[in-house]
Amino acid sequence: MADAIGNFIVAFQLFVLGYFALINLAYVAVMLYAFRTVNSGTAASVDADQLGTRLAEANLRPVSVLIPAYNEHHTILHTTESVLAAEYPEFEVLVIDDGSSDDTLQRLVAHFEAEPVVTNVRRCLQHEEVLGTWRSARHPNLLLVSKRNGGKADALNTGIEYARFPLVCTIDADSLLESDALLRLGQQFSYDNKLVAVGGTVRVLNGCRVEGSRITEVRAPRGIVECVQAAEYTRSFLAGRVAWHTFRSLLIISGTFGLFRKDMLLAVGGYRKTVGEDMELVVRLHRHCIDNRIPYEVGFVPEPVCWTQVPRDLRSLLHQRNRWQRGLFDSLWSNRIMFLNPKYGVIGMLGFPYFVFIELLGPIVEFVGYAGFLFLALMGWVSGPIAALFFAVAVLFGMGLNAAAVLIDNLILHRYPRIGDALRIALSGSLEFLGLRQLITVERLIGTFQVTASHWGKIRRHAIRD
Amino acid sequence: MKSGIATLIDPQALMSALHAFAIIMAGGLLLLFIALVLQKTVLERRRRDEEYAFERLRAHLVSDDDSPPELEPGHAAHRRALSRAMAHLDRRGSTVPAPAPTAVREALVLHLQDDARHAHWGRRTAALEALGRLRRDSLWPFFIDFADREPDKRVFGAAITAAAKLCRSADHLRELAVLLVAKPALSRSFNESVLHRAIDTLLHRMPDEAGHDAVAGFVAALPKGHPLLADAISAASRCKSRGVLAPAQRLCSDPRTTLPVRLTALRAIGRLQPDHPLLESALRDLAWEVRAVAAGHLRSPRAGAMEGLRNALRDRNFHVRRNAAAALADLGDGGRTVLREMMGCDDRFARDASRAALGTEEAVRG
Repeated sequence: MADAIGNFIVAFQLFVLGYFALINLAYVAVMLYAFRTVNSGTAASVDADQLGTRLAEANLRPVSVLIPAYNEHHTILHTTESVLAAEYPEFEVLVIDDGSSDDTLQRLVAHFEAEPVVTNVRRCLQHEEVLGTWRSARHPNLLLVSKRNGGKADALNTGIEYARFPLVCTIDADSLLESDALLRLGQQFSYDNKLVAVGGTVRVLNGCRVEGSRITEVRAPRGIVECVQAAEYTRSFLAGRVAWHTFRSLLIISGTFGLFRKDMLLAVGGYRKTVGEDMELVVRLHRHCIDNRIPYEVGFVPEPVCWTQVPRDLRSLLHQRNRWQRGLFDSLWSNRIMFLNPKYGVIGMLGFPYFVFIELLGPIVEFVGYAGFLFLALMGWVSGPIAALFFAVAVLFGMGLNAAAVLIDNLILHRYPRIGDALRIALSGSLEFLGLRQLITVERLIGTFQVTASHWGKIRRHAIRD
Repeated sequence: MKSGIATLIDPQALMSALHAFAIIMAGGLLLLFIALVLQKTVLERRRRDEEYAFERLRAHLVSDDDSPPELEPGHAAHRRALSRAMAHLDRRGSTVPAPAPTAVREALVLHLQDDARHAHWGRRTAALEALGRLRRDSLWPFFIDFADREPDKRVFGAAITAAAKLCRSADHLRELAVLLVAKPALSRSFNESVLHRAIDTLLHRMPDEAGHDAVAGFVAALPKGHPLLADAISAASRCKSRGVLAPAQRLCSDPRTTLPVRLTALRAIGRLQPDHPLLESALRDLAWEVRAVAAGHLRSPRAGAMEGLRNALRDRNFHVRRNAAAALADLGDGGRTVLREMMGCDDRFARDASRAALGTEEAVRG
């Protein structure tokens, strides 16, 4: 019996150590690969003069920008104004009010001097009933659509139906778009015939100075919870997305900022009603193109930026992460046929398994590791110093990855001009591993076992202050 | 309690390994923070250098001073400043005549050409765009040769766009077409934009009829099935090149023409002559795409055209109905009268299309 317990304890230690080594090697590999790619591929040096020339010269496909909004009266005017100020030859903006119970729609109608219009659209996607449409007298390219509440995916499907242009861009209602972001993203479709979807970078708006709908100074957030997210977004977009895009296995384009070919969205039946609708759609796009032998690309470009509000308080952050975990599970489960399926090439054999083993099961293994080591140390079955040292190594490794991501970001894209801000994000972000990450792990674990829940989670919104 | 796989782990060795790891990690972390501070300091200094060099070069380029500017060709910040200064010179030149080329400016062009060949791709495209803005005919062979050899599609795009601004003859158009066909990764909209720019430049530079004839000759010489045929027709029609009307008509009338080319040809006819009889007959085509394009472009008060659009409101395809309604709304009182009449008809889809066209029209006008 004692032998069996001893073997189990050692096997457990080996498993946790092995998983720790695997996950961190994967992170380091992704980081190094992304650094190489971004360094050689980024066009951060393309300045405003060049973009101005491209705007004047390019034959860019027109874009319909969709902004789904549900109870977003704090931020919707800023978001819509920022999109309307985009530098792009031809685009329209559709704000889809998803049955808000606050005055989101009334604010929009009053602010943009919108008048009711009759629209005629072809019904091709499932969504809740549309109650009315308004067109702005000030901005004829702004259409407001009011519909019964059906969720974000439902609102986006409505928007796709009303979109007139061949490219569809989705933007969250609590975000500010940089004026050249649409141009930088849209020109990718000129370069690549096979491109069906492309994502841009999402960064943290909290802390930045805003005038009107424009960010006049990029600053680090003040709170630790927000700083942690700023570092996390940098790590995730600059390292993860770049590397997976290069491996042709990008399974997610953030719902906050992505550009899609409308015909492909219609071909896959639009968004599916789930809390992780953005990832689910991209996975389904891959599946559809491979199943039908359509040559395609799903891309990511680090330079175009959409600044988004992130949760300020811990409770909202945990709710958000719970939802993300449920969305991840649902996206992977509903497309499980791709898992380790050679038919889907590198996605089926590398990208999908990575998301299953590292992203989906990560919180479970991490929690079991923490809890197991704590339990074994308390029982005296594992040496206390070894457990403490292992924890220290894990924390330091995470901090190192975090600091490296901030370093790479500053080296290539340098979006935070002040040294104090860069340091604050690197330092505060590193604190993530001393408690916050563990809390998030527990919340994600709970989320994994709440997959049937379809609630969005309560996230406190704040006004974007000038 | 040490048997089986338990013998695999020596606690002392594990302790030492973890200890070493922790020290390495802590040291690495410290180094990363030091690197971050140093990096920010260096970047800030480089940014100031570039701004300073840009201001000096800009002032130097617009002056008649022929002395060489203080420029270190190997300095990245100076190179970037040079591209920006040249761009500024061009914008100034668009309203005020640009100063005549001097030995200094010639030397700067050589610097930019060197940048275009050897730098990071972002700077290479910047250099090519700066060179393109100069619109010097002598640079045509450079751009063509460059685009021919360039494997990076972004840099290729910049080179061929710059070349398109120097197009002077049908031969130049053909050279561009050969290069575009050789790079199938670039999209149709990009190809069309390059041809659009080239044709636009050619029409501005050649005497009136000669330019249109050159474009017509270029389009007519493209064989059926040529990958650039549709782009060329579309680009020429966007430039209002009347010379493309005849080849477009031929393509529309030929039953062997593929659907995409036929649609492009029909659009070209619509752009150049919106009351063309071919658009009326296309309203009765079997393919709904053709009917939709015809309905979208036909603008004629002739009775036959109005009747065709009225019938198109009852079409089984949504896009045809919507385009026909928009066309009628665009045709003034006559068209709007037809739409009002159709709002009382028995076809629900025709009523919807008419109401939308009238509703949108009235709301936006109101």
